[in-house]
Amino acid sequence: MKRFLQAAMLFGVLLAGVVVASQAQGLRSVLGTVLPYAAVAVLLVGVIYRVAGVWGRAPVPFRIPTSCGQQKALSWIKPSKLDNPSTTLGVIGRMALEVLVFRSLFRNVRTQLKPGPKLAYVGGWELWAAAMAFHWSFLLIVLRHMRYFTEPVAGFATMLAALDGFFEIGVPTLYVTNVLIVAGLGYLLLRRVFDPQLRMISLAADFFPLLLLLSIVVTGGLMRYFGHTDVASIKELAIGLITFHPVVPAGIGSLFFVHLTLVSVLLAYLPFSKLMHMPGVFLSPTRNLANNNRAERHVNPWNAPVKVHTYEEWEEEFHDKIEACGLPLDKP
Amino acid sequence: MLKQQLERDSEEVLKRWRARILETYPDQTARFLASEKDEFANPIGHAIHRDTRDLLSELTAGLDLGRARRALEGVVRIRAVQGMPPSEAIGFIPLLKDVVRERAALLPQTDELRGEVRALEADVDKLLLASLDVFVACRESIHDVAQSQLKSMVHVLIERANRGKARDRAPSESEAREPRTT
Amino acid sequence: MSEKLPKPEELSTVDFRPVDYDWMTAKATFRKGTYSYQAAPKNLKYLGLANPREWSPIDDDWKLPDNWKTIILEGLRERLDKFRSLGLFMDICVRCGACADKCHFYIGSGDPKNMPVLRAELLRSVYRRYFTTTGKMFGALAGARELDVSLLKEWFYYFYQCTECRRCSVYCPYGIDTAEITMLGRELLTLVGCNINWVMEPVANCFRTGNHLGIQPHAFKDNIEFVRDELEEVTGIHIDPPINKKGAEVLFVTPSADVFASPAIYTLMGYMLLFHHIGLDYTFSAYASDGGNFGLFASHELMKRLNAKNYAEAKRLGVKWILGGECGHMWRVMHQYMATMNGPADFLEVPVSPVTGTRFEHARSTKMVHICEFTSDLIRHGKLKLDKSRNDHRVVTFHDSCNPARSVGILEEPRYVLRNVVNQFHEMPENTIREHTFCCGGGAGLGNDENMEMRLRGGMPRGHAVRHVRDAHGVNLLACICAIDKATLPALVDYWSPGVDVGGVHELVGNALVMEGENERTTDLRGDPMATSKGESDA
Repeated sequence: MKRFLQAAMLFGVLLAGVVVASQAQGLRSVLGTVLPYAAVAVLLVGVIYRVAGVWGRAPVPFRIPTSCGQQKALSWIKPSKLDNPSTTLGVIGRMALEVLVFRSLFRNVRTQLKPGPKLAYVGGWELWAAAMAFHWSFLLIVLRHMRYFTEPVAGFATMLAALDGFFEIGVPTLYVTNVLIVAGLGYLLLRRVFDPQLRMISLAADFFPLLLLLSIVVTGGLMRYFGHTDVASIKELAIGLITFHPVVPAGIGSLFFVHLTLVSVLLAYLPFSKLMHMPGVFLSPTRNLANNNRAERHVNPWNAPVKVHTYEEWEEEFHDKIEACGLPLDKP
Repeated sequence: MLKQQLERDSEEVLKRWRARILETYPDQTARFLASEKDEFANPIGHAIHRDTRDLLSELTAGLDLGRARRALEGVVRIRAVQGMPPSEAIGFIPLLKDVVRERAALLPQTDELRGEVRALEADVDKLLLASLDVFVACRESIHDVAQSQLKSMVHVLIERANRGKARDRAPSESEAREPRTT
Repeated sequence: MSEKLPKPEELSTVDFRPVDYDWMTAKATFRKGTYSYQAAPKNLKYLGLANPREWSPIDDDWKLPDNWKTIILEGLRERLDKFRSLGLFMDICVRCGACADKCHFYIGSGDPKNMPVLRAELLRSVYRRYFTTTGKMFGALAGARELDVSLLKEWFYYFYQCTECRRCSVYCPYGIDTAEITMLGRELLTLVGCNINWVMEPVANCFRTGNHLGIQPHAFKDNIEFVRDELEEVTGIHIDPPINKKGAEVLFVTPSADVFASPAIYTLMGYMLLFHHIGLDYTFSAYASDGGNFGLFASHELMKRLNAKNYAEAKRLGVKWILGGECGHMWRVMHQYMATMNGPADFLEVPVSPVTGTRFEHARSTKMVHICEFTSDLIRHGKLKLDKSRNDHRVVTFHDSCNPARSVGILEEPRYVLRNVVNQFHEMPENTIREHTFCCGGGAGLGNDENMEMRLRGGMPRGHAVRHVRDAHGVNLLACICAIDKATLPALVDYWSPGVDVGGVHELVGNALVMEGENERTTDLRGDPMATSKGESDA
């Protein structure tokens, strides 16, 4: 609980600061132009540095996939092509399953759904579902936001918005992703707070991004569903940002600046946080390598020579005993 | 009357008893033990669930120490390797007394009831003593399995030594094997 | 009367629950039965390793070198530069908790630091403190911890409470592999001389003599001949197993337990019968007399030092390819490390079965084939004369050993062999086999007897699954393809599921093989009576 409170306090201070800043007209050009640019710059430099400069610079000395299914060996035994891939195509499939549908996390579901003596326990199922709900909604919401950055509006953004509002509940239409992302994030946060096991392993750095994401979602939702938001002006600002002609039109409510600033914080925070699992998952050597170790030799760039005990040394040490027991000698 | 009451209430009694047992584990572990129902993903939780049920029905249906010992096997065998002092390892038995008293408090307080509570508590004491036996047997068997592992690790050396002598005397004796210790 | 009954809230004061457990401040306590003894200085000296000395994990003073902290941190920096896996696994864990209840040690002990996520956090917290900006700036708030002696002791305690079984990595959404973290954590401990003897003595022995027990060449030959004589008593077949024979087609490498320990020797009998049955031109080696490699449990360097002999011996003897026996961690090394470390094996040929003509394409680079691949190919081509009913006194289940299952994927081959040599075969519950398999609790150098209590905790999930099939189907033999299993599972089943024996897959093959010129068999390879008719099997 201590670490949750720490994160909540930190986040509270941040949020209060952002809210105060958003009220100041004088700061609007900073929050609306300087900060987003700075945040994107930090994000790009940070992610590239970590991926290419740190992880990428370190070699993969050994090929160590975790095999989660039958290997490909004998022609008449069916290999598990996706859970234990032996080809690049299989690896792509495995990674796609991992990234798109959280294959490994789903294993928790499958094992736990096996009927025990009585009830089947579905705790693992909840984690998988919440993770899917959050990540997919997040992606779709980001893509949907492209309508602010494109003129004319990109076709996919319009289509996504239409699909997302398919149920046509309320005015303005309620987006399904908005509901799912709140549910997903809410569950992920609540389990960390109330489940003793999760609470114990959680760090402040686990609560903080959840609070940040939730606040971004909530401010966005407030603007859409409850506020009177000048969408045209916001779009003008967004297009200005993306075309490098930043402008801050008058008449945009302070809530928008809270939203935008929190997004900037998220972007700048990402490279220094566990959110790096996003690019990281693609590099994981237990997942992104084919289990073809015995067919193709993997080369280790730093394969240093080591001290070994050669046959000659061995024969010399045990010479008499080898001779006495009648085993052949190279140097009789 | 108390026994019938406990039998009728067995789900509630078991719930309370199990909750008390789980309290002897750390928070985050207790949650895992309580929630994961798969026997194989959670052998401890499963054993607690099964054995408490069996032990309670022993008490309400009339205690048979032979059967009770078998019911004690699961949980005690597990707790014997969990690094607890003996008092703690078998300490889950007397926790049942607390639950029994709680239930008894709900009934009209008669002399008869008081007698029944005492009798039941005496039975729980018997269970406690039996569980001490089981605990000690388990601890001893840890020694035994270590011993027999040591022996089987050097099986060929021992056999070769024994066989060497045996063969000098009479080859047929080499047929004689040590009885397996399973 | 009623006032004498304590109220529930009063009762709840009587509990043992540790209040406010905080993993960042909790320290490791070394209790007898739950840790392994320190490595003897002679072994470290022989191998030229750091800080050989007399010490004990229960001592306050571990006699570390004065600059131990610098050594560890420099070692960590070096490994971050050499292993992408390490930096990645340090950075990307989100602590989702999916792994928490997957570790057999956690399931059996309930100790929070046996959750894979926390085992890794032991290393991660130090990484954050010294290698990340946020950790340097915010300290404990960012999950960073100062490296001090008590933290080093935690490393020793918990990195030697992981069997490197990789079960958690199956469930991790990023494939974070605790085995990798434990391996590198143990490497760091090796830099300051904090090793366990059950790893270092076998490593030292293996470096010197070629095998973990330290059997010298003449004794190796004697042992093989002892097993041969036993075999002759049971079957009436006399076999002369070739050792160090130059020009043989196949070098056979197997864990040395097969030649000295029970029940592993019965597996060796099975191999001998099989090779005799098909007339294989093979040889044992008294130099490469152990395929097992405890170096894997100490450092990548030691692994390579011990592994080198296999290719060297194959080259010296002039064989065409290598056949490997039943072993778990040996197969992780042979499959995932050998060719990279000590290859390329371009002096060998792509393995071809001399009996069936099958070309083992999947092993075309490493040139080493698993015995179960080899035997199932033989059976598939109808090259073996088998009498299944000779195993009718056995009701068998199969334990997937961690490394063949999760580092190679040898799942169906042994099952195919078993179905062809036994009539009564029953699987354990699905979430305890194949890639979900539970460890024996004694792998990665933990199979010593001082650590028995911890092993029994770790082996509890496996033990319970065995008991389940024992009670449900009358299973009386737990078959496996791992020498460590054969050494550690008997203790495990004796405690958790008495009445079940442990044996190798090829022991059962040996029972079933109908050999030319054999005696009428009344006993199996162990000398236990066979069932005379199916009806008498003790199912």
